[in-house]
Amino acid sequence: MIDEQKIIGMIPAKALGCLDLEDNSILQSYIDEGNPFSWDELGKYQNIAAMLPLALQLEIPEPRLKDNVALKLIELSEKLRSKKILEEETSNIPNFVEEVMDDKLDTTKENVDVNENDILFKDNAPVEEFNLDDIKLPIDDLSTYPTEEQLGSQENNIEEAVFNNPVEPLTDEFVGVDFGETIIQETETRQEADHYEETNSSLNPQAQDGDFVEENPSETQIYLTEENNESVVENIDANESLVEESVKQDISKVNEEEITSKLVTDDIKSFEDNSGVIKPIDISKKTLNEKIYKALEQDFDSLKSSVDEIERKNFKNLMWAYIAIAALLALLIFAFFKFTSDIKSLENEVKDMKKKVTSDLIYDNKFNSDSSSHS
Amino acid sequence: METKLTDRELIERVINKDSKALENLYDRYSPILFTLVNKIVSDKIKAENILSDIFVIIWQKSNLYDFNAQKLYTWLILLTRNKSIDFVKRERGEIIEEYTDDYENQIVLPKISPEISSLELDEAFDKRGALYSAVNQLTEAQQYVLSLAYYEGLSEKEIAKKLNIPVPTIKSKLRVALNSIRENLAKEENQ
Repeated sequence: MIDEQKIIGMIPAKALGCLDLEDNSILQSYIDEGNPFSWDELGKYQNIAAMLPLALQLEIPEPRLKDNVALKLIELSEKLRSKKILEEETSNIPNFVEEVMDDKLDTTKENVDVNENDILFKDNAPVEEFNLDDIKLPIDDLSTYPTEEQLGSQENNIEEAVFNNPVEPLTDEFVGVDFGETIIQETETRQEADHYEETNSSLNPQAQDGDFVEENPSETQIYLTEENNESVVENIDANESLVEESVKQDISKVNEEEITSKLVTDDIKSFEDNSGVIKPIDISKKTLNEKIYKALEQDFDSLKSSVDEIERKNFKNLMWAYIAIAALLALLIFAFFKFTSDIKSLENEVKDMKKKVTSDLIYDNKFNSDSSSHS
Repeated sequence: METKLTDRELIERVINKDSKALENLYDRYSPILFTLVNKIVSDKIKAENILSDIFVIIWQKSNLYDFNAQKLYTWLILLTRNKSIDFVKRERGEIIEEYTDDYENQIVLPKISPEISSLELDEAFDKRGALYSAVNQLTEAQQYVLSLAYYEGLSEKEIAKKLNIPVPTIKSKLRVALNSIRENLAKEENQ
């Protein structure tokens, strides 16, 4: 049991802020236990403690201190704001990427009309080892990729477009590309789906349009055997490496999204040709990031080229200006010398004339004096 | 003409992030707070830095101010004292605990009694003369012990050790000193 008198004796020290740690914890636990405590007494002592500085000689702080306080507060708010923005950005960027990726995946799924649940692995094939990223496209289908000439012509078109409109907002570009991609996929995948239906109906005459999946699930479900897996993986690997090469060489200036959409539809084709089944297209995060990165890179390149062009033009104009100034200067110098030489020749002429006049006068004088002496 | 805002109105506006109110609060309180900080740290530059830190705390933590009690003056003085003592003790290496937000809330921000009587700056200044005479009426020993406790931040045990006096004597000296000031102030008020 804590002595109440002891607690009361602690109040002045508590108010002055000089209570020992031990006593402080005793007092705190006494209060926390809900025992009656003289808050009024503590309040009175606290007020007296707060009045003690008034007994000191008052000092006025420098006026600049007010500005320092303001600056400190501004810095603090800026720090908080930048921190907030940074947090928002970090949370928004992955969302944006996820959204775009989800959109693309959704479009693909709709177009191909294949449910992931329909994909089964025969004979307990190792599902975990099967990685979509490791799939390689068949080399046979390389003919479906755009040739270098095609790429070249596309490149020219795009370069023109880029020069006409060097800096386009990224979002607009994406929106435009997305529409293009969707259209291509819709038309091409529709054809492929028709082709698939035809093939399937020939194999399975009982199957009806649109409902074959439900009616014959055992036949329509997609089986990937180990053999198929291996061949598919090899082929897709080769194709992907080729795509990377072509991307490195040409894609930076070519409309990358169009090619990607083309490649995506080609993927479907190659898949269909190789295994006879339609499979969801693999649009991984990596590819999407690469697309974004390349789109940005393309923007930067176009910006850089336009800046270079402007610099070149400016340099040319500057050179012309220098030449004109030099010519004018030369003309001025020539005029100056011409003028001075003219003046000099004129001066000489004047001198000559003067001499002539003086000598004539002397002669006349001489003649006059001679004649007078004779007379 | 704009009427002068009370301490409570000012702090209410500061809580609502009115920078003009904070400026007013600075104009009103900076002399007394600066005097106190400078007395504790005995260095003008350090005192200025601490004072600006205190106003940052006021700006950030004013929402922790309890409106049930009219105690802004007391709150600000004790906050300033706690912050300055913390700075000095850290300089002396007596506090090694990291200065965190939680530490600030627990140790630096004062815990004011909920049953405190109202005291505004103007009122406190009015009592200044009475306070002078009350402090002067204390014995030198009482003044010294009070100074060690309040301005140097020594605990009762530390003072006892320093003056080679038993702790209960220090306790009684502090209590008597504060009671004496209190009584003298009350006398002055009654006159």
